[in-house]
Amino acid sequence: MIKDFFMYGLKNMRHRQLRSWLTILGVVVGIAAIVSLITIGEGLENAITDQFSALGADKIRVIPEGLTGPPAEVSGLTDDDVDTIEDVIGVDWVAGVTMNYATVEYDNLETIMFIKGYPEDLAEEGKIDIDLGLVDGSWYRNGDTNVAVIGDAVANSVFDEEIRVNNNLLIDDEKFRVIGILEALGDQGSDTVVYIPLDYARDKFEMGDEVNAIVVAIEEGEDITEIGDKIAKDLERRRDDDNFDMFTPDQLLDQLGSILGVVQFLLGGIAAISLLVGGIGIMNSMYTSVLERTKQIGVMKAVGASRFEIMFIFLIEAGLIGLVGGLIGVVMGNVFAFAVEGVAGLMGFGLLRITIEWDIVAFALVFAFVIGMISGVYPSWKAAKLKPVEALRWE
Amino acid sequence: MKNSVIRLEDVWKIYMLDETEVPAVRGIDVNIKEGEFVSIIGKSGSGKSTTLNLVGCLDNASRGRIFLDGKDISKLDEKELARVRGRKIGFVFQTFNLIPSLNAVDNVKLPMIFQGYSEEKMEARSQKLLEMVDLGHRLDHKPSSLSGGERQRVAIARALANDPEVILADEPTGNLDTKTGEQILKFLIKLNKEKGKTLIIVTHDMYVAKKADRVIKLQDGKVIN
Repeated sequence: MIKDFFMYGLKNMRHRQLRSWLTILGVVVGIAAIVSLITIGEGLENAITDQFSALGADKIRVIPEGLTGPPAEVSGLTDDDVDTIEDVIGVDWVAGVTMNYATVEYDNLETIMFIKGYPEDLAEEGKIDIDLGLVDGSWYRNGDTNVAVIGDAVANSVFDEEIRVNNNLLIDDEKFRVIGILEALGDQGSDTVVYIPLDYARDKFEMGDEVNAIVVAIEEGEDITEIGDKIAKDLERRRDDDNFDMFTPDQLLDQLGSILGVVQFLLGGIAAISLLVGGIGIMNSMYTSVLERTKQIGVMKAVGASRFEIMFIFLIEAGLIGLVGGLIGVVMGNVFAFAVEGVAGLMGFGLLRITIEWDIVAFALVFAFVIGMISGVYPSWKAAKLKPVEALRWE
Repeated sequence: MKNSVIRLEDVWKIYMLDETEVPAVRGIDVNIKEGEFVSIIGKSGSGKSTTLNLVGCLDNASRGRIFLDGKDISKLDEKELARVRGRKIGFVFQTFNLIPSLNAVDNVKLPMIFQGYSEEKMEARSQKLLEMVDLGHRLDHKPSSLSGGERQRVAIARALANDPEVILADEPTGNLDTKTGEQILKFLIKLNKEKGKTLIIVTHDMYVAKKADRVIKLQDGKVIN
């Protein structure tokens, strides 16, 4: 019997083609919005997780207090702090890093870029602050001066001409030879960095013994939180202040994750409103359908349909409108998400990876069917309540 | 002596128009036997359609008792009335009342769906019934592509879907030309004579009425013959 009701619903939808499609469109928009926003949100979360995992889960970063977001030329940390941290038991190695913006020129094109001064001795040993390998060339060694290791975007997309190993750059009008090119990470920030030897950077940017950030690698098997606490305590004691912040990639990821959660919640809310509008559309359409088919309802009652069966028939039809809308919406939502991935890739944010989230697909379909059914409750009840004689008399 | 299949005892149907009571049927007594062919005639407003609706369980009587197959149906609730309609009564309407989105076979299936028959049985039976009304070649056609006479034949097939004891026809030839009307009437009479169905036709066409075993004439909601 239920199968027959489904068939009846489908046949009716086909019969009222234009109206059915317009109603379905309302659901499509809502479901497509929800699916694409959630899918893109998940992709974004994956992107951020990937990026932070490149920072290394076993590394603590220490920055001067008040410095959040992109690094700026703020200091407050010095070599003394680096030495203090080196003395903490459980610490593998410590890198004091400078960060400055400078004009970089190549092939007669100039641009402002982020220059990172990184210790030569650590670089030589391959102890780098991010987990990225080199696609070409090598890191610099102790005593190297005017050399640079550049990010993937610097090499391939920032300038018109591709930069290769042994090409020369001008950083603030001073010549640097490119000796290594990093792997791509996928986001502009990490891929447009230029590493130069720390000592040379300090001279060049007149930093004295200051560093902008300290990267601390923890020995294998040590508890990162415990070591972090020790570092904080020793730093506070030596500096006699707590004007510094410490974070691990995990902590930052948690923070970003919760911000992303709020954003996703808000976007989901907006999408839910559009779905609500779609639901009202179904209700309107079903209500009209009940009015139009009053006589049919009378006939069905005359041939033996009970109130419950009439209600069921109309509910299923409303649910089907929702389900068909849901199916199309899921496909369109995913297509849209993949399109955003493509556009993001073209714009240099190649880290965004969209995958079809099957649990969201399943949820969206069930949700669409249920929204349809709920929207159909009132019209169906109106239909079921009609008296057969009155319904048959309807013109 | 054949059993009584329908019996109306002092049946009244009173409608309320604003605060005023408008009696459409005023205390009629009718007894129709199994296999009988009865026509109900009367002018517009005489109460003939109301009577048919009461007999067909489409409406409740305000007063009096209605027996179908010896069972008092005047006090049944909605759900029970739906069951009785589905099993015991087949309707043929003046305006055919087919479902436009369904083809001939599906229209005939409709009453069987509510009785919960299997798909195979419904399919086979609707085909057989459509062949019986000479529409074996029109199974997949929707009402919009059928002529008036063909539509009424689909409606007759539909009325027979659950093999009911009683066929109630409300002006079955009213929307058809004379020749087609004649053909439809023949089908209905055939059901009565050959299949032994009790046939009740409401009409104002005396030609149709006179074909019946008995004519019940209504006037102002009362039986006058």
